[in-house]
Amino acid sequence: MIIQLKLMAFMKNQNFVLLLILIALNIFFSIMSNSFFQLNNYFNMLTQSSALLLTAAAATLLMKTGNFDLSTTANLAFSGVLYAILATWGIPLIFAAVITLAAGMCFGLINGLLVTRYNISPFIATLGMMFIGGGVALLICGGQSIRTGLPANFTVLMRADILGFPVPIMIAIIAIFILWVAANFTLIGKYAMAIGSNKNAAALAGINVDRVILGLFILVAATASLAGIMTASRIGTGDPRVAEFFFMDVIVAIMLGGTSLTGGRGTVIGTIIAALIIIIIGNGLNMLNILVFWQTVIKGLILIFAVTANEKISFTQVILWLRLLRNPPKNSCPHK
Amino acid sequence: MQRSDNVIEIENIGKNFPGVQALKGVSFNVKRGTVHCIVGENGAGKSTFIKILTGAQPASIGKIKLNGKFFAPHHVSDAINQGISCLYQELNIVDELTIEENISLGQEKHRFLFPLKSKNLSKAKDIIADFDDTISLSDQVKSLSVAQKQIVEITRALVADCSVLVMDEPTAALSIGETTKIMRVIKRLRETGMTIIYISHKLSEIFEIGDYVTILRDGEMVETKELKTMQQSDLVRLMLGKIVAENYIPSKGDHNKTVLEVKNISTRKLKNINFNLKNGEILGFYGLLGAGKTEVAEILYGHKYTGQIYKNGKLISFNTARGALQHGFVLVPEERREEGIFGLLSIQRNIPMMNMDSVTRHGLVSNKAEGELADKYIKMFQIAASSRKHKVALLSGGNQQKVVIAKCLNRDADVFLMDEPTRGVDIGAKQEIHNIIRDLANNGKSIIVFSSELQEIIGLCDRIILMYDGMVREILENSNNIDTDHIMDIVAGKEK
Amino acid sequence: MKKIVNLFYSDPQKMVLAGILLALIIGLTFASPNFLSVTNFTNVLLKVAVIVIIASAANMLMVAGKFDLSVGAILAFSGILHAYMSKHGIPIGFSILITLLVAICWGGLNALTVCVLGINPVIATVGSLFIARGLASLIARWDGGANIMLGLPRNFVDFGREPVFGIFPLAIVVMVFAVGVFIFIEKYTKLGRYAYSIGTNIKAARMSGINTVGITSLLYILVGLFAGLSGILQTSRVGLAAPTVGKGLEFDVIVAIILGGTSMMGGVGSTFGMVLGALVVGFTGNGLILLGIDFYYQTIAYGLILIITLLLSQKFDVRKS
Repeated sequence: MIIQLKLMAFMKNQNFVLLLILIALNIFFSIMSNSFFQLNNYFNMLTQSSALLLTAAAATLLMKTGNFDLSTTANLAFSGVLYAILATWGIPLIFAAVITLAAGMCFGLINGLLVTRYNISPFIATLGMMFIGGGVALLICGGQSIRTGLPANFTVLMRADILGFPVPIMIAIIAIFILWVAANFTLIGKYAMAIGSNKNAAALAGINVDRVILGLFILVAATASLAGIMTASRIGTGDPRVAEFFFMDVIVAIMLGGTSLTGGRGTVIGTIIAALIIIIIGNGLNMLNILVFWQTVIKGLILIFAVTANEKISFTQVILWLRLLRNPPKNSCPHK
Repeated sequence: MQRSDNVIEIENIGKNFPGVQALKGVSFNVKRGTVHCIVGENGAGKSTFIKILTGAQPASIGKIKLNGKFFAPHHVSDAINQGISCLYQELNIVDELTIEENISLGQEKHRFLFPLKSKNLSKAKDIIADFDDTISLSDQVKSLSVAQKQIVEITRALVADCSVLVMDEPTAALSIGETTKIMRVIKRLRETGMTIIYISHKLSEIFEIGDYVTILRDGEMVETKELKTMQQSDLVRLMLGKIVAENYIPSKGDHNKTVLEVKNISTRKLKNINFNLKNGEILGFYGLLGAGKTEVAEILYGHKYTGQIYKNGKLISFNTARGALQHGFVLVPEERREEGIFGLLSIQRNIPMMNMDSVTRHGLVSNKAEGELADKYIKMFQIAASSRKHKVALLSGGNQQKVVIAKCLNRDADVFLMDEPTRGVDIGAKQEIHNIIRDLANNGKSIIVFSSELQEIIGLCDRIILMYDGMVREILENSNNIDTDHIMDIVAGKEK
Repeated sequence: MKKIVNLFYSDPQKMVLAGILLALIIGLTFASPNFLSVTNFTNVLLKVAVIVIIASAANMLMVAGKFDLSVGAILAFSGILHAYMSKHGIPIGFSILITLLVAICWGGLNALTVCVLGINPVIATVGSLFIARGLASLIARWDGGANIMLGLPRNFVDFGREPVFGIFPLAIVVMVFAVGVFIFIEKYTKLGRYAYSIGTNIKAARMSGINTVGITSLLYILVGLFAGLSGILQTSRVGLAAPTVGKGLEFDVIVAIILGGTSMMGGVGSTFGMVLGALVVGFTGNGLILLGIDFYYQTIAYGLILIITLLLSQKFDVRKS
């Protein structure tokens, strides 16, 4: 009985719909293309998108509070370039990564302070940081990609595997697991939800709202920075122009996953499923030799339809309509 | 009992805002384990008083003693820590969390940010089961009814060891069944020795659960009395004070044509409303807060209803403000800031907004015409502003209201709905606004005034409709010797 | 003097901006001998023109409390569509007309999703951004390449390059026209009055009988139209239609508007302020180039100007207190 109830509750969950779509897409592409349903293809696909997955998971927590970050692209580019430069200087990669992460987190610190202390809207503050960060990324590498002088082990992080399992996917899984725990079982997730749902109530309950938001901006910056390191390592280059639409992909995945821009709603799992849907559509259409341009168009259409559906209809409502269709309500049948 | 019998002693509390004295000379005691009600019409100072007591605002003058000790909270948390919790009108509860999470929100003990199980959990469980055994701690708050959410908030206060609970209009958004539930909860709390300060405008509730009542009027305390010794109509009289009406001047028209006829209108809050309106007539709706006046205004301005509305003998229906305007209605809304003014825009830009054609010349908006129109109304209403370019948000409440009325007058409609037209307006301006309304009627326009001020109603209106609990109770012809005692009995719910 | 101080407090952001612009022009005049010349100013204006033409319309939209992130994509799409049609034998005049009609449809799509369906403008307009960009690339591909450059008829390029009255470049003339149109709308039309009222208080606007959905929809359509127009101008002048053109333009437009003192919440702002904002951005970039400073300082300056102007004007804003 309880299991049945839980199952019902899960089916009413928006994530269930997304999961169904994800499974359907997998089946569809597997039938359409021979090369799709291969372990190697999945490894490839997930290695490529590990950076997106973990940044989106962290940004979900931030968006739950009703804030968002447009500067993730710039942070990613900056961090990738910085990491490569530090590597060419002969600094051990682990130290290079730590320094890069610290520098990347400054993005979050500045964003967070502008939003909480100076009351600038997150859109403008992070847009400003997007320009500044992008400029700094170009500046420190002189506008040129860092390709030469990199140590031989520079790409190891992203190309290695442990017992045949690619390391970047493991990093993404671990990071997502930590963020999932943080969102569901710690005070961070609870406070983020409380702030986004009813800021006044959260403040009255004694939560330091500004500090939570600041912390989450820094968290997102840290993941974006890590994403930069991973991307640089994957392509073996510190490229200041890499992943131009990264922040849009992040925001799209989060919103498709059911998090609202105004906060108070959303799950890490939803974001991850949504991100996987986007990734699989991209990869699958590639496998079918469909032009990359069609993929952009389809992405736009999916975005509009999914959000319309998400905001206008809930799955529960659909079930209700279906029931009504099957047995329409009879007029005037007093129960009491 | 070793401690004093009075939980709270209020001594000569006052509050000044720039230019206004919101509260002055309020002194009374609250006895332990009683339900102490505070009543008063809008602007009487109830909300200012709550803010002072709960630490949201400091008092300008006076002292409060809590359990015999001086108590001067600087912050809401000060009051909570000393045992005073408040349920505000808007619920301060997070819909997206469970009841358990809400109860511990902000107070959690944690290890590495993982919340530890609270010792208070079983206490909360007992408390909540005591009030309502259909809800459990793991329920999501958004699935609860408003009354249940209030129970959650009460539980949170009890878990935090509160000894005084302030409730600000807890039943305003509740249905009858839910209200009964909350009444039961309050009685239950009193049995356990809790002190409750209860603010409400629903007199029946006050008489049902209250032990003592403090009446505020215009920022001053009128009296503190034991409720057992009082009748509802006594209380209303004390709330409203002596009625000093302007002389009623009947409007000049012949009132020979029915402009508007409303038949059998019902909504969630209204029951079977019938009335009509003649040309050149000023019709008044009077009743206490929550009697349903605003709802009547709203259905005439596009809200949903069942029933019929006839305009000039023709059945009409509309469900938007635009539709209402097209049928010749215009509304001066009660919520001036939210629904009336365009705060960031100048007076000149505000006034023509309902009728841009009045300032268009050859299809273009003429700055000159707009300026002349603004100057006309600024002069006519004596709007106190440095110039017509003044931003409306920076004007005083009374002047903002004049701008809203000017905007509506410029629409040139034939039925004017005026919801609390002079709320927050000083006496001089009030008189002017009344004269404008009379002039309008004498020019053949029909006017409905919705007001919770009896002086205004009997000074202004040709006929008066008395409302109570969503119903029309009586329709009176006005005259200079109208029986105000009778009116107060009716709106207080006394049967005829 | 007192008058200037008063002006400063009544509209701090515009004054900060005007001050920055003045300082830039004076400073650059002394710092670079090439700055104060007709060629240089024409150059700056040509760069600013694309932004200003779109921002004129988008500014009015933001005054009404909404915004559009798809303008860069609509620009690219319109450029490609115009080039494709011209290349394949449709007369220039018709091609322009059709392109503008399609641009209106893009605006209509945004109006439908944002105003009628009530979707958040960020998502809805990013959605149309993707669709428009994707379709732009597809058209280019149908033509047989990544860009459309070869085989464009002679008069296609002439249209964009031939100066009006033999003196003024067309883009600058259109820019002045667009600014004129929107100053006119702002000051003398019901549309302008309604836009301000909706941005200030949408509830009161509805209660005053204003068709809020209709007005905001119309503004989205105007934004689409002007984005299409600048797409046509851009391709004609450059003689090349690329689907990647105008990437990030939506942010340039929003920066110019916000710098100009328009609030993202709506109700406040002016076309004139937006022009000032765009000029500050334009001259900063130009100055950095003239002084031989690497181009990447430009984006940094961009971000800094944005944040600092907002911080400064917030500091001077007396209305908040």
